Amino acid sequence: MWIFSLALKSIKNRKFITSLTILSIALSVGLFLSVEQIRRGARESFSNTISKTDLIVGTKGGSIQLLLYSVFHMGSATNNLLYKSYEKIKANPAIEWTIPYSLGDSHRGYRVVGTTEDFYKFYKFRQDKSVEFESGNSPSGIFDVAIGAEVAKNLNYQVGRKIILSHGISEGASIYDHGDKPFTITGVLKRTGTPIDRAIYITLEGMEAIHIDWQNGVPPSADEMIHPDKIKKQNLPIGQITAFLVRCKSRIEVLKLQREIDAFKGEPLMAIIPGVTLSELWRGIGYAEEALKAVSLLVIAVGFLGMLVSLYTTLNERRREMAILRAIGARPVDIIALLVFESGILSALGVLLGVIFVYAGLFIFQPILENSFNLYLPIQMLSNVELTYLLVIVGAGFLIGLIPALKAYRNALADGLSTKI
Amino acid sequence: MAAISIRNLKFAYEKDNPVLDIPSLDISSGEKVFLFGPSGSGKTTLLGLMAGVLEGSSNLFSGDLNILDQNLAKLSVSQRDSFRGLHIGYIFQLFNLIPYLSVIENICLPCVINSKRRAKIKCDLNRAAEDLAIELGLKDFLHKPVLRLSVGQQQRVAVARALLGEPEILIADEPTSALDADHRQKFIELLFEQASRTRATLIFVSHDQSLAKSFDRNLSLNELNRVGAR
Amino acid sequence: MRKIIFLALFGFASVVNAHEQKAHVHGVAELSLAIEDKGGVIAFEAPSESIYGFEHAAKTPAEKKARDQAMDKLKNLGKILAFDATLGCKIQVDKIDAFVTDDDDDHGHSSHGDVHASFKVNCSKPLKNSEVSFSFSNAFSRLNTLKVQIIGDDKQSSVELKKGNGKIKL
Repeated sequence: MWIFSLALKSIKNRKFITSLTILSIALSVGLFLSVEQIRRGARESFSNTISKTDLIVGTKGGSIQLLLYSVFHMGSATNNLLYKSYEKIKANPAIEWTIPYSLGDSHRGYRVVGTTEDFYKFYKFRQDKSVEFESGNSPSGIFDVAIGAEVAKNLNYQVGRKIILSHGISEGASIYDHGDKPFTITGVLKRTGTPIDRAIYITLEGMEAIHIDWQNGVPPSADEMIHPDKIKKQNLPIGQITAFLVRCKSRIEVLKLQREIDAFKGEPLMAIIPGVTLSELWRGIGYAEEALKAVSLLVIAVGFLGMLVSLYTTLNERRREMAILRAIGARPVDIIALLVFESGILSALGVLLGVIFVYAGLFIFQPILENSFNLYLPIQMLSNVELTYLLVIVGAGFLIGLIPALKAYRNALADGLSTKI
Repeated sequence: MAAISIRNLKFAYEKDNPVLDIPSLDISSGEKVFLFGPSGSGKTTLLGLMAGVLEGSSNLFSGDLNILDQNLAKLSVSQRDSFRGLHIGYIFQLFNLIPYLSVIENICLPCVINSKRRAKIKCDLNRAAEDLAIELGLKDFLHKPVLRLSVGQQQRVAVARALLGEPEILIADEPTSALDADHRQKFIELLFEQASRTRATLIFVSHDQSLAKSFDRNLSLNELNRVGAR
Repeated sequence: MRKIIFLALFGFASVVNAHEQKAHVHGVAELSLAIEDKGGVIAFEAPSESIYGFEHAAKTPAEKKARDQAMDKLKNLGKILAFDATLGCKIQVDKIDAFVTDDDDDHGHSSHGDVHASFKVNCSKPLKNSEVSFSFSNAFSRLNTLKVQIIGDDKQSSVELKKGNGKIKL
């Protein structure tokens, strides 16, 4: 083991250059691992967002768009579907439950979702978890609203507070506010780690009510405005919704129902199977991921090249050292081992530091990613695949040490005890 | 017992260009020998062969070379390395020390590498190294990086390293050439003292004949080596 | 930054959608497998060209022979789609259409022809977490890709099998 401790001391002696080498390997390994972690994290968080939903129905268009705007609140729908169509499909005996979504408005950047009690009753995420209330209860009145945990935390809202919704989806102040029809918070949802945390839930009637007096997408003037007190649930017919989720009584029925909806006579509708569409999304992104992974592997190679250069260039100054080692009884293979250990230790330290970088980065960026991209990255152990990669990288580090080691070996044999430098 | 015994030793780095041709050389145990030779007379080659670092394939090497009654040619490469580590202490002209180790670590290194040499030390290795270093006047430098030492101090560390574990043979290859006259004399005295104490055979190589007088025996490589005589 | 993510996702979305829209891509067949407890249904769709070599109603005796041979292979789906043997599954033909034309084709040129088939699966043990293996290349050598959709109670996925061979966990 003396060779190992000698290698450690030799590395320590060249602090500056070795720490640069370790840092460059660490950064490249960190880049590689982040790509992997974000990929895995994004996939898990996406697929954990929706469970037990067999079909999502919207108007015909892109299936991935439908999935993204309905479940992940990303982007927006181009068309709504008629509530009549929804009721007609809902009546199909194969269906166990449905959850309608009416989208399009926002509050300070958070999406407003019009839905029914069925959402709180049936929606499932992370396999079998239901939506629960931290405080208060589900909105029942037209101007009641329930907010996600993240909304409550970031805006510091509590049950009882009145808020004003904005027309359309915008990050900051919107052009049109529904200032004439304030909503009251009746419930705050428990944290779910899904986009639900960043959404605001009202009733379908509420969604109709705030647009009741609008004409051609423009808010009413003061004299045309209908006062909220005059709006009653019973005289609020629901005209449109954006999408709805469907759970069949049996999976066997899903394909048949999907075909029926795709061929729906009333208007052009489309039903997607969320998990299948997600797989397709990942497949599309897969090419970019592979490219990113290839780039990060190249960066690791560059890091190793740096190490090789730094070890190789010191060999000439170290001929003396090798002659001394030989004189006091070191074998030529000990010389090889010394250099192989040095590069192996450097790579192992680089990999270790890289792993630390990634976890530190995850801790720092997790809340930022969650806030800005609705992306909840779980901090999890390295997967077996990642561990294998890391072992291969360390192994490659040892192997690369063989190049300077063999050169030093030849030098040592040629030099013997020669005192010339 | 003969420390070194050479008969008809012939050696060349490349064919038809012999470097050494020594018919006979015997050095007995405990002798202090001054080996004199100008540069190019084959000093370093002879030392390399004695230490078992140089390996001659059969057509480049012939004759008998026995160290402590062991025919080196009969040993494998790693056996020779281990033999050297156990029985020989080697002192270079300059830059004897591993730059990234402290004084004490440098002194201990041969015993760390060779477990048989380590076993010859009955007490704690570090303790033995410290005692030896203090005896050689290195008390204040034990844990200093070696690069902070003067040349004379470095050479004394080299002596301590060569002596630790009491090898039977000490080879010093121009160890004083970088020292001034005053230090040179002191260094040789110290080397003699230590060699006598451990009853080691000392082979001291130099091109400076003025040092020859204090040795038991003087050898001129030019006279020994028939290649040089030509 | 957020916009960039959206753009990226939607960019991919449109790319994916381009070949996802009720695709009629030669060499690509789609198979959906929905399972519930011990039973399931299988729906299979492929361009007729990829199954028996031409894309019109079989007219000549040679064409009819080619079509019928291919349909026989479909009828014996169990030979190219195997459930875990310990589950004791039986695959039953529900319906096979050798040539279905797409009426909605508004491209003007002659319509595409597809093979449609559906099957029922009955097993003696629950299918969940078992493995299904596909070896479609043995029967349909013109097939490049088999897109398989799995619809289970807590697992939905879509997998592309090269040459129609591979294994999928339910």
